[in-house]
Amino acid sequence: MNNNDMDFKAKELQRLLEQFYQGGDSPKHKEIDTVLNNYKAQSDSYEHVKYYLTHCDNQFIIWFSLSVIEDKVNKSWNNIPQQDQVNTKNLLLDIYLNKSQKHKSLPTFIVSKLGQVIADIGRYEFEKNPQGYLQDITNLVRNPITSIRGVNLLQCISESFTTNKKVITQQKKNQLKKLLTLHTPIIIGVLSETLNQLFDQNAEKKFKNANLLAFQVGSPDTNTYTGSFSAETKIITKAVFDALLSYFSWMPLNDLLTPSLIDILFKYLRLDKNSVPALECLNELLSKNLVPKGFEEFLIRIFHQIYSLLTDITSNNGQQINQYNPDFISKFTQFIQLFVTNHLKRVETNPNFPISDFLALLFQYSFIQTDVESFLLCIDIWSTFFDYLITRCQENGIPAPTKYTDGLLVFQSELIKRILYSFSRNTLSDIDDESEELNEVNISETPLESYIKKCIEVVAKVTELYPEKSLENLYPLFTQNVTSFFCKAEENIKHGLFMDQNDVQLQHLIKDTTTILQLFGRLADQFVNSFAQTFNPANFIFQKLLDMCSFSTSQNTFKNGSDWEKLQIQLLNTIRSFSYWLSEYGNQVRAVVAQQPDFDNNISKLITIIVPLFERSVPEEISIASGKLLMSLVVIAKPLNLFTQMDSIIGNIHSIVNQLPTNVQTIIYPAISCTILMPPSNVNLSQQWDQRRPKYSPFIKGITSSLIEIQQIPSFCENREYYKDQVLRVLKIMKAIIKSVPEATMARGILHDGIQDTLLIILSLFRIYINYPVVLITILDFFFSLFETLKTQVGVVFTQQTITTFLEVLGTEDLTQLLTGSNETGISIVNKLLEILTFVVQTSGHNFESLLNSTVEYAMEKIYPIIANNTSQVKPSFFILLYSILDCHWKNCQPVQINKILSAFQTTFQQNDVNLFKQNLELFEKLNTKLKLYDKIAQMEPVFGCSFISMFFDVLISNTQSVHTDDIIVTIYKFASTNFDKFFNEFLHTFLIQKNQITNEQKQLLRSNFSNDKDQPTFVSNVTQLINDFSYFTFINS
Amino acid sequence: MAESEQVQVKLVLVGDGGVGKTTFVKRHLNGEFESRYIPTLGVSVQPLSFYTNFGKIVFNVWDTAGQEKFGGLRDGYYIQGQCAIIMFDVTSRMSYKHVPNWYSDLERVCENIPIVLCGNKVDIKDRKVKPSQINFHRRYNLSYYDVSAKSNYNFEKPFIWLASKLLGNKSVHLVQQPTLKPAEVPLDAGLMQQYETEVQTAAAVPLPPDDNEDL
Repeated sequence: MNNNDMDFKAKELQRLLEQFYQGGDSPKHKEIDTVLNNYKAQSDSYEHVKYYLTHCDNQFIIWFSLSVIEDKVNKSWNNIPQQDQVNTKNLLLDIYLNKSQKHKSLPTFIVSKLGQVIADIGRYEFEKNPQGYLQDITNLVRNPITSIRGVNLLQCISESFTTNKKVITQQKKNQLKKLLTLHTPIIIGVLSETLNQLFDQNAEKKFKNANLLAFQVGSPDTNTYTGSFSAETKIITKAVFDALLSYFSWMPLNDLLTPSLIDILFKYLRLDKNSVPALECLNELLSKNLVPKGFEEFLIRIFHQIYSLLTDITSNNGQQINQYNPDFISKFTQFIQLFVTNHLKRVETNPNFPISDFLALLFQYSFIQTDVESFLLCIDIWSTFFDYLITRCQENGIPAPTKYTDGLLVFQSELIKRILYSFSRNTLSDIDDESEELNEVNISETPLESYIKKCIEVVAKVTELYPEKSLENLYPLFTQNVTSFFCKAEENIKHGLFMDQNDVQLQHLIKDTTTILQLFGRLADQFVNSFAQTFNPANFIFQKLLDMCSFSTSQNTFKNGSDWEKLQIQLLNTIRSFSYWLSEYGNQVRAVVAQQPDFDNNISKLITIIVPLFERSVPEEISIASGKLLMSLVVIAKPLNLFTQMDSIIGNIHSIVNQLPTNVQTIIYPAISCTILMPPSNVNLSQQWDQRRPKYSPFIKGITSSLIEIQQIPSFCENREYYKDQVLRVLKIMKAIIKSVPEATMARGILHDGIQDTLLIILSLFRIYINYPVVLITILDFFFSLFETLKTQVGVVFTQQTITTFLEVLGTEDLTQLLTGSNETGISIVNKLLEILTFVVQTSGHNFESLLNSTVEYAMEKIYPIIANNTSQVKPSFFILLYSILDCHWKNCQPVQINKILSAFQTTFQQNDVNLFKQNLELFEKLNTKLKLYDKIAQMEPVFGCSFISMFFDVLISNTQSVHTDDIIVTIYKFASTNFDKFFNEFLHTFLIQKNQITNEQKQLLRSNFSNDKDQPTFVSNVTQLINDFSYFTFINS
Repeated sequence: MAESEQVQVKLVLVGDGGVGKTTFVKRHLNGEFESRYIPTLGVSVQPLSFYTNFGKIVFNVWDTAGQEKFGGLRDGYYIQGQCAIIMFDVTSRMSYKHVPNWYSDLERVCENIPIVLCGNKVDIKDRKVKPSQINFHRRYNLSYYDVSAKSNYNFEKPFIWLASKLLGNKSVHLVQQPTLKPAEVPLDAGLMQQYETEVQTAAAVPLPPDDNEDL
């Protein structure tokens, strides 16, 4: 082909590439993509691109050419003549080292790509002559003209030689890494040398810090340096740090980290500019949780650096921090965090470390942070430190060290100031309190709420360490702020003063009060731990809480705005946090009978606070909080005389809650149910049950009667729509009551007696409301809870009757419709049914036998054909049901049923649903652990042969489940271990022989590289090698 | 807003095969819906629009193949990338282990672009990569978000962060929520109820679940 042709081709290629990078999603774009890929794969493209590289300067063409050479290097470098190899490499090097006139100013991404391809070629050269190869590159580094490229190449070598891509055989990967590790000292040496040189040339000592501490070990350099780095030297320095970072990420640090390297890193750390890269390297080292030889000296040096930097940053009353680059500060905070998390435990008790002084500096550092995010990062460090102390004290059964007491109490007080408007108005006003986000445990909260909660958690940790002193430290917060706020509010209302919703100061006061209440709610467990010692203050707080709540209830303070509403909810929640304390109080009182009236008074007062909030005019959130408080009072505090004290409320409950929304009723009714069904401990139980049983029937009938009445209405079926809401309401309340029933058999029996007459009615509703998915799902929900909780009471016969009804009603042609992709309610209904079936399968023991056939038939004949070949959302629960059937009833299943079920699993392993794959693989592993599933499958050879194991190999080779590779290999190992001889002698050979993507020679190589070792680690590395090499061979053959 | 006011940005989306890149992109109703996992061949470009207080931003998302064998031009697709998302699967340690490789491949082609690291599939209970173990981003100045392509959780977060970086650290917020496909799985409603301010023990009080999730 002549030059004109080549120039024409180049122009055409340039046009395509430019169009490609400009374009977005379009058929044309796809088309160009295909053309480019085809051209890349063409046999003569390699020759073409060598022409392009010498004749073109378009960046896209150069890139494209490099990627063609990259492919050549990876696929068939050894197949081209050696002279050609040398020429190509020299061509690349010339461009890379700026020797080519045509490519004087290449963009960075091209230069980086060049470096990478040159390093890829190096994989072949390095093996032959490692020292010579590195010598050439270190020469580049040492030559000022090529220094930067040399350093970059060292980084490329680190990345290319340790690649995890399947572009070389596993054996070669291992060899390369071993050889490179062996020669890493040379590389680290030349990089350190470059750093030292750059430092000497561009930095000078600024001033000597006053010797702050006499350290016993090490000779740390804590001078500060001024750098006058030119733009160019800055780039080189950055490149060296980047290269180091790359080596740190994989090299064995314990052996290779030298004192001189650490020295130079520290020197850069003390440079007034340009020190971020050094910190990045140090952070990488600390994040490895590395314990190098002589780690104590290493840690002392780290510690001393932190100490000295902290001193500097916090000097000048905290003003000095502004002299530091925010990036540096954020990296430095990470540095301290890593040190505290990974290493503090090694030095905390060592007398050579002035740990208290360190904490004092960290204290200052934390509180001079100007933005919230940095402050919270510091608070995280404290939290880590407290966790460490708490664990150490618990493990050794010792109290927290007294040396920290005073300091930590000051820290605690200072931290509290950060969550109160009266001290930190500006900061708090700046934090977003509107947009709600889900936090890590899926609770919706605003950034401000999250901030306050984080700080409160850390305050609570200090209290856990030093309960007595810390509580003493905190009481005034409550006595001064909270009580005085309420006194003032009471006063104002008494004098008819208007609570101005726009009064910002008042709003802040309300918010602060809410925060302090939240804090004391969090601390309530401390009052239980040391009940006697803290009784007086705890009781004082509790009484005040009751008073405030009573005031809020009587004055309807929520009417003054949303802040007041939140305050009232917080009051109820804080009282609720005192439930365990109240329980302990009740226990103590029983020993001193004279105190019982006092205690009973408290409870009466509490009841008179709670019940008036069950009122339609009260905001729903408050009613709910109040209902939850009642529940906690009943089931946790369990006051001795509660049943008597609640007598009139139990009697009137239906008229009390009558007007409330259903979701509030579903909280209050269970609380009342528990009040009746949960007698206090240590009393004459049979007497208690005699008193309680007669109360329960009218209570539950008041709820279920409407269902019984409706059902008797002759026109009910025609008017089902009209009665729908009523039906839903009763079902939801009953479900809530069932779910909350106490453990005691007697309690469950009484509940069952109460609802027994409605169960068949509810079941009959299933047919009546067949066209009302919302009702169906609620009925299924109800029965699921019923079986879960009252399985023994409802008995086998009723369970069977229910299941049979469900299978009949939901087994018709409607099923297809329920399972169509967009029918979300339909999918929920089938999912719920599958959950119920799974539960019954798992818990019914041999009683299930009569249902086994119909369940398997329903699953495999009715549901499976509809979902087998799509991504139905019922698949996960469907396979959990199949798993449970095998898990609990393998022996009773017919072989044909088992085959069908296992084949269904097998199909999912071949489909591309990554999540289902993972679930089912785990289910298989569980079955194997319990039932030796893989042995069983091996015995079913006529049916399955080696299909499972070969399928898993295929999955690995196809790489479709690459995220699960580790798990799949373990499963393969377990399959193989059912009969290793067969695996090694028959399976591997047969498996490989069927593959036509690779040559016979390659097959033999794969087989011979797979040793017959039976231990898991060797086996796993053999499979990894086979998969890597198989992919590599397929790649080079393509 | 006039079409001319919109900003067009090339975003490169990378990560191991199967971590959920394509599903994530297709949550946005601009793209057609893809219910099944089909490994991406080479690259597929999806324009995703966001309406912010700084106008309309269109991210042309170059959704690249996670699997080497379907790689096509591979890092050739990163050229001219202005920002990137590296995605891994929080239920697969392997996919997190490969994050540094994706990062260095990206950095080689697109130096110093803003990058977000996203841990996908947080809706799945059996999380293998815990939040405390995710620290790669801190060392390399990336931002990190837990996301769930299935429940739409945090869908817009990575894009807002990238927009803010591209606009020079301005405080960017959406003025109109993106239209997303409805969530396929709600995040666990049981956990949502826990009232966080209480002592842990008190939180264990048996309570009836709120039944207000109307269908």
